[in-house]
Amino acid sequence: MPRVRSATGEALNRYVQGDYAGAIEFLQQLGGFNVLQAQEWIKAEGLGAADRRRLAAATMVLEYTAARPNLSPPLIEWACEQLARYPTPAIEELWLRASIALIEGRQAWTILTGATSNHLAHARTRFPDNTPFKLAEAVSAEATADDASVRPADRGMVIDRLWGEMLDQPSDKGSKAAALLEQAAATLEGLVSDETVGAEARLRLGFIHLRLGRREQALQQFKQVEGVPRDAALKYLGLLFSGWTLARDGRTDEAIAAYRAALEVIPRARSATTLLTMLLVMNHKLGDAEMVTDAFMNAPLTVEDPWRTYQLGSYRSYQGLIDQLREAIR
Amino acid sequence: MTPARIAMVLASALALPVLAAPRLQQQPPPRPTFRATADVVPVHVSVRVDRSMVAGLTASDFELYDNGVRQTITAVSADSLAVDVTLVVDTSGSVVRSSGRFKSDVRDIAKQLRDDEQVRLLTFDTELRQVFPMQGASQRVPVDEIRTGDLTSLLDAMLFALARGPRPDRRHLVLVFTDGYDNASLIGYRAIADVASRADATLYVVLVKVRGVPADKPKDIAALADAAARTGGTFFPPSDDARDIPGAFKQALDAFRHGYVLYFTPADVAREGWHDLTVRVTKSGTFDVRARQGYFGG
Repeated sequence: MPRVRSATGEALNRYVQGDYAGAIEFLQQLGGFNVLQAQEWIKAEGLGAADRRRLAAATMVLEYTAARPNLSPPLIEWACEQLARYPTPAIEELWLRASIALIEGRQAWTILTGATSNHLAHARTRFPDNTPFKLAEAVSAEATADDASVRPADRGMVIDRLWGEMLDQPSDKGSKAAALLEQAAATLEGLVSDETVGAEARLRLGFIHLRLGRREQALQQFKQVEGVPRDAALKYLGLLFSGWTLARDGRTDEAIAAYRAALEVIPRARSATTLLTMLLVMNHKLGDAEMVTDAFMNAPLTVEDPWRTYQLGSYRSYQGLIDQLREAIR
Repeated sequence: MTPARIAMVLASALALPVLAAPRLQQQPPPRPTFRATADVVPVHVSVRVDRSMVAGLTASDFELYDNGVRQTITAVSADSLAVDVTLVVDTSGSVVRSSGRFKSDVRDIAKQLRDDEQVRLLTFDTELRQVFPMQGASQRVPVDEIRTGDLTSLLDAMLFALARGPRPDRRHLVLVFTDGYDNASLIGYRAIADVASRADATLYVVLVKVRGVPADKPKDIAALADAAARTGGTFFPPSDDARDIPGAFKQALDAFRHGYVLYFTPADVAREGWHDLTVRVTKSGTFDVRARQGYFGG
């Protein structure tokens, strides 16, 4: 294989040979990804190899920027351009899904739907019928509603939020948040029957109903998500949010049962453990609460909690998408 | 804590140090028996004059009111009760700057406890961790598992620490070392005081340092102080000096040890709902009396 004598070229060589971590580390040590060097590398083996090389460069850009503290919008845009005329549209679509998952994972909404950079609009134009991209629009609106209404210091303090800090007593910021949530709900309504994203759309729609105080409608959506057999994370979240909704309605025993059911799906997950403990303490069941926290605290390993990734859209599928892209490069 | 719960626990016990203590003042000591229907409420009280703890008080030196109705009490010197300590320490980097120093601090803290007392260590950052469960203070404290992290789950950690069922013969002291900042909990500042009201623990919060964080910080700090006050505990405000964790612990433990536990069976008040508690010292003088502000009956 003819070699291009450049740091980016060398990193790309390592990358296509399967040394993914080594390639990224090499780039980080030698000053970062250089677009001109990458273009040289893409052309180095002639037109026949250029498509595969463009895919490799675009995919490595995702992994490289993911390893940095901040995503680089110009670099993502450059990579996106590399695949704009890709002969296999499914590969371009796959890369776009991975890039959106990454951006959602970083909660970099200005890259996704901002005024100066709107990566999602580009993806929607390229693939108008793609339902994960439509779902991403709703996720973005929901997340932007958080930005509009929640002080940075309160991020994650969902009990305060859902105990009426803003949406039951809307302030100006709360009204703006409610409008964004309604916008997201409208998008999600159109997705609930979709085979690929329907269950997640129902879950998110239910959560928006909950946030807007429409608890019966929320429960209806969560009930249908609980029946999803394949995805443990969605099932867990459906039960968690059901518990939340029931607790808010004062249906304490049902809420406790929902939280316990969530912990059967993903034992020792922190969100259900915390909310169940809270509910038990508030209802004077300290001994029961202690048993719940003991089960959590005495476990040797931390369990991945779907609530943490709920706010990150499709980020939980990011690594799987990258694996598919790597496979396509081989 | 509900009186019924306490009654159930007490009824299942045979000879309890809690109940033996009054007999130090009233001879001879008959072996106590309890009916399962008795509702006994313990109230932890500390009494100070200026900054000094007041020792030697007896039942007749206190007045206790449950929803405004005076109750008959038995005073017990808390020093006779073993203490279970839950240390809750911020390992997000703002409090524990050096894990080596912190490990030695934890060992020093354990040495301050009696052999019959227990200690456990919860740490919090992005994650909540029980570094070691409640264990005898004389046992080696396994501090090698201490880890640090980025974010801060202060309020969730406080909930987990306070969620502990009552032990009739022991007192539970929850001591939190924090800068008061939280960015990773599910529960919020507004909820923590309600949790504290229902807990069977006395909460001490030692504020280590305040960083330049949001403008509403005073409200959040006030919520922590309120939570401590509702349990009869103490809030130590931020200090310009770097806090010595074992030193602060000693201060809190001394205050806790030199307190009292008043027991009473509620009479002439409705059983259900929130009960406001008022405790006074009847002796002449100006006393700073700290006790839990109430309890939930049910």
